[in-house]
Amino acid sequence: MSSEDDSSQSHSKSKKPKYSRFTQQELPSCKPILTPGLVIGILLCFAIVFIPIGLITFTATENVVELVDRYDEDCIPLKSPHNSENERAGFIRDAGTNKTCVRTLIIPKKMKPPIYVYYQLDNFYQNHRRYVKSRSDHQLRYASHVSETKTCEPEATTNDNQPIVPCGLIAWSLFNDTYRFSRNDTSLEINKKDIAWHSERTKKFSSQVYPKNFQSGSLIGGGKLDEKIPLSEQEDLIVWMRTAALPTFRKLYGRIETDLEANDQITVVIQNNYNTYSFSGKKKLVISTASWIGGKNDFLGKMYMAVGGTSLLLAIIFTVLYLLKPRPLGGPTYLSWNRNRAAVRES
Amino acid sequence: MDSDSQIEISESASQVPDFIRNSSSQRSISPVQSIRSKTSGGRSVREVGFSELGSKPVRHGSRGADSEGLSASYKEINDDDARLIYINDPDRTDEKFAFAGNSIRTGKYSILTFLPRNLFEQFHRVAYIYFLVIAILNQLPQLAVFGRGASIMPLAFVLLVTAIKDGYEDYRRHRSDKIENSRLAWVLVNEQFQQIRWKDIRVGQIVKVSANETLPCDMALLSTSDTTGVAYVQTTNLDGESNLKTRYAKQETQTKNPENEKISGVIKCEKPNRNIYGFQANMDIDGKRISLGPSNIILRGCELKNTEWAVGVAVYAGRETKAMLNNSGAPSKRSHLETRMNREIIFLSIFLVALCTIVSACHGVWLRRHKDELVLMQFYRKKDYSEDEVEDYNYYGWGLEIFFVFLMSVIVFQIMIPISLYISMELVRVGQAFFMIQDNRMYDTASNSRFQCRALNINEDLGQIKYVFSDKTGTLTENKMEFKCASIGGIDYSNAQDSTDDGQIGNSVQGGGQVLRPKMKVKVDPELLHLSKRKHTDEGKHVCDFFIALAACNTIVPITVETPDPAVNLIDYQGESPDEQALVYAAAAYGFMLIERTSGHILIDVQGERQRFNVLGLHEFDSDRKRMSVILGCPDKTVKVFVKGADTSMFSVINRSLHLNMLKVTETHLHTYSSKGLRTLVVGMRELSPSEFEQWQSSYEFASTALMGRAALLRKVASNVENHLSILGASGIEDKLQQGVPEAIESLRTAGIKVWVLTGDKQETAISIGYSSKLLTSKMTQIVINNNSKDSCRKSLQDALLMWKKLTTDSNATPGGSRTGLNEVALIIDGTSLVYILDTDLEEQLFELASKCDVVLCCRVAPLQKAGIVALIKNRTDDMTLAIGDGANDVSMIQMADVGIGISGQEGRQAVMASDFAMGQFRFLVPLLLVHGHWNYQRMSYMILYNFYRNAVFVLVLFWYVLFTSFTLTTAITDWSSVLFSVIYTSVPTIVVGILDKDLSRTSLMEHPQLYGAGQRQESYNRKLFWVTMLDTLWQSVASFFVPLLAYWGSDVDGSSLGDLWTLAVVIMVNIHLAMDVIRWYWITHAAIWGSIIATFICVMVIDVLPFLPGYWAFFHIAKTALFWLCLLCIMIGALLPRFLLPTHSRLSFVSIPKVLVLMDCRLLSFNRVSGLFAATRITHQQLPSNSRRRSFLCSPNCSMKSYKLSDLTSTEVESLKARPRIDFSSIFNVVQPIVDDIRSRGDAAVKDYTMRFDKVELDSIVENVNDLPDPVLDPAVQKAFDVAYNNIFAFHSAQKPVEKFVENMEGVRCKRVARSISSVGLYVPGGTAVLPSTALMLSVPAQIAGCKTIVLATPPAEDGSICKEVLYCAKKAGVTHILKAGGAQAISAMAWGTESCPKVEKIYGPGNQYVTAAKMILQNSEAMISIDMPAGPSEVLVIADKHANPVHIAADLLSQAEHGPDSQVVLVVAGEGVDITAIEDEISKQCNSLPRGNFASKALSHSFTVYARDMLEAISFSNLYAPEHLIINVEDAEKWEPFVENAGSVFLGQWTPESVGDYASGTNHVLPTYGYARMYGGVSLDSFLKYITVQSLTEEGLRNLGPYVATMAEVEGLDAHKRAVTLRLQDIEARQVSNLR
Repeated sequence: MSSEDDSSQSHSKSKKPKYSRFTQQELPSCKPILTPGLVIGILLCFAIVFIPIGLITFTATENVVELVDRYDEDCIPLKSPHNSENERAGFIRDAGTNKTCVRTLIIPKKMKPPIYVYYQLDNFYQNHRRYVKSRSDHQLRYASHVSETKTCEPEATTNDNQPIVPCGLIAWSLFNDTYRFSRNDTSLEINKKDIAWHSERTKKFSSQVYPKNFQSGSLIGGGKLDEKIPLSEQEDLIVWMRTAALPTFRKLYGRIETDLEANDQITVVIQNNYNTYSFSGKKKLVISTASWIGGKNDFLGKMYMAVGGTSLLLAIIFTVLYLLKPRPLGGPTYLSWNRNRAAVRES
Repeated sequence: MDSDSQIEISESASQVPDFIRNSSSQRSISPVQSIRSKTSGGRSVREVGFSELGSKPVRHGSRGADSEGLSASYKEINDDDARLIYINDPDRTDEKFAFAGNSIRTGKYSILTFLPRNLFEQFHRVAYIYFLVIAILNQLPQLAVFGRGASIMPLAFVLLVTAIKDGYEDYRRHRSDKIENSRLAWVLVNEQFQQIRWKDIRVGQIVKVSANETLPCDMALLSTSDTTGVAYVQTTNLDGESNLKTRYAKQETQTKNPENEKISGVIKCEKPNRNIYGFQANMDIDGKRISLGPSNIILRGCELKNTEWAVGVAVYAGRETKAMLNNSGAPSKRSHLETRMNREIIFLSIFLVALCTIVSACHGVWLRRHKDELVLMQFYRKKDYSEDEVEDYNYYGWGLEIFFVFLMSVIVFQIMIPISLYISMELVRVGQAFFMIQDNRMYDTASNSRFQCRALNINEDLGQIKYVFSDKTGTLTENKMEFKCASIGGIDYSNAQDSTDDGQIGNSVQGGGQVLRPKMKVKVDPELLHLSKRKHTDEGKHVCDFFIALAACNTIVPITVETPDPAVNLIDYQGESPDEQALVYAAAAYGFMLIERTSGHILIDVQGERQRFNVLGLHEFDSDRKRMSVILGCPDKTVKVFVKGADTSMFSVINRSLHLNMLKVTETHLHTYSSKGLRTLVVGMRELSPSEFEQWQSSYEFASTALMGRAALLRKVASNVENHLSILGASGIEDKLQQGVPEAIESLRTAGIKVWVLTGDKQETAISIGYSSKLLTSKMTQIVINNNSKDSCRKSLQDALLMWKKLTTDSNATPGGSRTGLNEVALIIDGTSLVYILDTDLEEQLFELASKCDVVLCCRVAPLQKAGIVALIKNRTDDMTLAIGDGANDVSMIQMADVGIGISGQEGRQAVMASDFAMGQFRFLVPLLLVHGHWNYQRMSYMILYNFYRNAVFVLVLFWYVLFTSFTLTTAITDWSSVLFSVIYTSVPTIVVGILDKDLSRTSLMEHPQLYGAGQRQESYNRKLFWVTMLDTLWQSVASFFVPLLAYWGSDVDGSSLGDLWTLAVVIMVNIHLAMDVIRWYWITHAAIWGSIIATFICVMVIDVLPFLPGYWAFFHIAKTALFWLCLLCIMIGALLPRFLLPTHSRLSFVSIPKVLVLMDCRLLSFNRVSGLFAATRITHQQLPSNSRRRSFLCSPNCSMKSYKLSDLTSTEVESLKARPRIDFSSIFNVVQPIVDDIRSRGDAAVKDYTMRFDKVELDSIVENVNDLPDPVLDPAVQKAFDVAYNNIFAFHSAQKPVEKFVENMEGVRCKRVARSISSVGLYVPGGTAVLPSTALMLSVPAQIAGCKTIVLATPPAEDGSICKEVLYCAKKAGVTHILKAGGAQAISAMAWGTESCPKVEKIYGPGNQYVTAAKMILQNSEAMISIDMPAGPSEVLVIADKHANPVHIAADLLSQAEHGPDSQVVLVVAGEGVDITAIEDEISKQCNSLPRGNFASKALSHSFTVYARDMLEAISFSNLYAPEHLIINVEDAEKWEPFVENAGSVFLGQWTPESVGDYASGTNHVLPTYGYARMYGGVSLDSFLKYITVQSLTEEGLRNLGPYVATMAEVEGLDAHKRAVTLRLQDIEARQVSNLR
């Protein structure tokens, strides 16, 4: 039986999918293949790039001169085993006690400016959930929003419901130790200008907002602020309020802008005001130069050298194997069902 | 006739008593019957007397009563399950307003309900609920980890998008509903038909529909414009079938006009259900109760055609109509991969809980340790002093704090459970579906149909299919039936030819000035056409009856179609069965054109003369009777019943006393037809006497109005009249195989997919289709199970299992070997056996057997059995099943299987509607599974693993940081980045890769179907990969977190800056990770991956310029430092280095097989692999049988051979070497069988025809008497050569003469064996590619010595019809009596059957090609009762050579066999060291190129091979394994190896014995066993022409000695007569001795 031309069939539209390379999944494509040669090449590239970077970084960090002085234990007359933490904290909180403490530091190597002065806190969780949330960015930014303190609990308002400016735990716990430096009995200028980010001084902390009701409660968390200076110029506060990522952190205190020679004797007069005794935190004073890569942390340099070295080692191993046991051409003969055709040898 | 005649109702339909004979006797009414309405008694049954035959038509109401295929169950209607419809009284009908009105609402929502309902529906998804719970948790002030906006946003976004989409769809539905509801229909209101809107139609109202209108609701037909009450409807909208269906109005209502007289009645019908093929109701009208069936109802959505108007009463309306109830889609299936994925999700959940527990526990410890310090600690400040009353600030006690921390960590780590994955998966599936739909290679031109994805959630299952269950008709075959041949009155008419276009005589009729022509042309047999016109002869009458039966006995409706030419109209035969269509078209072609069919009469144009036949009754086809019949009142006033049906059912009702011969011949014809794969139907007829008719009529009327068991009653009535038939003939209809089916099946099987065919066809048809579709091969061992009881089934199954075990142990003689392709097993099982097996304890055994078989063929299976078989596999294994079918009978199977595929073919759209995917042709399964399935699976499994990794790495980075924040869930990474991570930063690339990436090219996948195995073995997604990925995740998270941490340790970095670094590090890392795994880079991939990284940078910057966030400007500060960038670089390399190096790093390891193909795709030929290091993964693929295509892939086309080293090969590989190039006999059998049959029936004439056709020689006589032929004149040198050969052969074979001798086993017991020649033998001397007179000598000399009386030598004649003179010379010399000038299968058949001129022979000898061999094999098993010498195959030689052999000789020996033909095989076995193989190879090429038959030789060499053996022992043992026809041992001291030879046809020892001497003149025979048969056969010898008779003679003494023992033995065996034969004689002897003594 042969069907006669079905006239209706030819009229109806063909549903045949329109041809395009896309719909037929035939788009041009590139198929990178990791051949052993390429693998070795890439590994060598890694080695070539990483080892020099590692060396450069490592030397850079090695050249950084850094002095770290932990003073929280020595600067308090009440010593740990004899006096309880509460007594020590009470001593610090008592406004009447003399908290002045003098430390002497010897510069090990010549330090060139800018020499950074940091304070370092250990075991202080500036990233604690309760802590980081307790601030009001609106209040800091707009004078009209000073009463927006809802997010600042438990340091939002005073007992008579006046908004605290700046509110929140972060501001409340402002670090308030002070350092006075002198070299060979001449005082050493510490530049405390521009220690905070420019972006924060201009955008985030308003020049119209002045501290108010700050540290007026019964529990004093830390430093007080001059109510006549707008927030944008309270650089110590701005630095403090950029919360640290980790429980061990440094914050910039100021810069020394003169050379320090090796064996210079630096005398630091510390007002040991800040209470780290209530939670067994540590306080350290850090004087450090900086390199292009940052402070004296050689981890990255070592890491680069390690990765580069590993790559080099692997590249060598692969090359040896590659030379010792080269394999014949790849192709369909390597398919297992063809491989079963056994030791095929074209003859 | 007494209408109260009572009928016994026997529910068992199998044995129906002849009720016409019994009807007069009073039988008791069975209880079921008592419900029968009294009113149906009396004289209300219309009588049709013979006098008024034809004037008033009788209707046939059985339509549909039995034809429900699937699900209709005919339970009687209880009042509870019924609805009562008062005709034309809608108020009373629907008193309680319980019935649905006719307005439909496909829209889901109204404006008011949209929001709640849509949200409700959306939250059906577990994923959304998880989202929601997390979001709600986050809203609690104590737990607000994320900003509230940030946590709600993604959920809100997804909900909104979905809602908008749903809303739009619903709006469109509302609009179409509105249009639908306001269509107008004529409804009877106040005794008048008025137009009202569809939505106002109520159940019970009377509706009138005109031609070509759509029906507004389901209606029971009352009357139609046709006087007989017929209405035609088209159900395209309902089930997609485009043919017309007939529906009937009941006669009782047909005559009523509702406008004139009030119709009142009650219809009691079923509750609404979705079965569109079932309906059952009773109608009480005018005090009568009549029953209504599916043929009396017309359904909403159908169109009325060819009927002017129809009036019906609405029974179901609106959403209760069958069309609406059927509107829901197919049940959804779940992807296998997704199910497995859920298991890993549970691991991830456990992991999540573990993380949260760690965090909360640590937090608890921390709180406890610092509990005294909490108040003063600057960063904790437990108490709030701002109020007068100092109270705890945000502190709820130790336990509660821990609990809150736990919940908070769940919020923070929520994306550990990759909810976004579910959304990505859906998007990817949409993309994959798009590509599948768009694939040009799956577009079917014939049906103009694309691939359809009806289910969107199981795309990846296509890559893991292990079993394919296929329907046959319409799936493997086209279901385009073509009338091929007929056997009428015992004569086979199968020479159908194209009827020429101008010879339209038989093909068109004049009618009313117009020419009518059937739409389809049929090839006609001229002889039959001629015969059909001679009505006056007996033969002619018979033919005429046959065709009238074909034209009348069906339910086809002829429809006249106009053509552009106004004078010509086409007749289109519309019907439900394509077989019937083919038959009616065939009848039309022979001049019996069905012109018109109404329910009362049909009009047939018989050779130009219109004849009207009254249709008195019609018994439709049902699957129990397997036949249908029609009772016609013929123009000559006789009543005849015409029956057609399946042969099995027909032969049981045919009167065997008539025309027994004809019956037998017809049976053989039927066998031939079905072995050709034709569908056969038998046609019979009987003339009814008036009394018989009357009896039938009354019982028919009674049965068709019965309320209970109507189907059984009708069946019984039918069985009674369909009896004592005389046979008219049989028809053969071809069901053409679809294009590309054999190739597709081969590909699927190479891919490791088991293909099962489940068909309703007969076993023979199924097997023949199995052969033609390459499902079955002649190599396979077939296990057939046909049983009628459970016990016999059990036994067959056990036997089959034993047999299987035996087969496998046979093929596994060597331990460790796997099954080779040689021992494939096919299981053939029929539906009857399955009845006893499925759902019983035998199921387990069947499963065990079936899962071991390579092919399973189930024939005669019912639709539900199909599903049962699928369930058999599905419930017992994890393997994925796929069912493919095209008809309504496949629906259950399609829904049962993991993946159901519908073929949009001829049988309507039921299968398509139920399927998950639909396509036009079976062969599309190959691209669908091998290409798309593979890709989908790879893509999806990769995507799932990647998403697990991606989210886990992020969560881990968050987790590490939490450890440094005194476990308080602070995140350095901002809330927004956390939320955007899986939405913007990383989602697009994975979706793009999931849609676009291809691990292997389409070409590779199609060329190497084995690659599909990766999915079956779940190589791309398994637990191992999951854990490896998780380890990698751990490492990467550690690297990306701790590098910045340590690098910035103790610096003045702030949280936001470090958070930005971590964000970027993780995002870049996961994107580069993805980039490393991408195999093909499209520009879209580039855009997605690099774009995502850029987008992340932009997002981070945007977040950091928002001054109200604490991280203001942090990014710009940190990005200024070199440390930041160095950290990023270090993280990337450090984190990804292991993944870069380890081979397990991705889907493609360095050594994995797909990688090799990727390389091939890339044409990167200089690929070298580094060993060892990368060799960790090795993917094992199952061993596959060799295959010529792949062989050719490996060898160059010139004269060369492959080589193997024996000691390197495993035993299996050695086994596979012994396998010869495969000959597929199935197709050859199909060619040869008709020739064999034809020669049998037509004899000489047929031989001449075939010689004409194949040898192009026309012969006067095919057999020559050798004595009558003149002696041929040969060249003296040639003559001398033949003489020498003759003498040697004669001498050698004479020496084989057996010696007769008596053996006296006991005294007086003498036995001997005597040899007698086989009296008549046939020798086949091939012509073909070479003339072989030597074979004539080799065969006829031993025959001559044996003393055969008739020696027929068959050889193909030369082009001029002469006999090759050398052959003739040999024949004469060796005493050949006849020469048959024919070759091939026809010669073998002629000798086997014997023709007018060719004597019949008892045994046939001689080599030949595949056709000859096939003919020998067929005839050996046929009724011809012949024997053959041995199975033959292509010629072969095995040469064993050592270093002493001359390369030139070796090459020459090899080529001498290779040149026999392209299928010859030669093997060189090199024994020991020091053989100059290159010299041999060079020599082979050199000689090969100079040979005239070099092309044959080179082809033969291409599948030949060289084997290296360590020593002679290994060489000989390989030779014994191979069992060559010719074995040449060309080594030093060849003779000493002769005792070691165990299997060989003929052996040639030493360097001076070429194989050719044996071929011609050494004296040995050259007709030798090939193809490995040397293991059990010897060559032709004198014995081959002899048979042995044993003779014994006993003396009296002998019997006395032996007799008692015999008697004893006979007694043991209980054979007393045997015993007596001895004892009586012994008594005689004794008596005589006694008398002698006296």
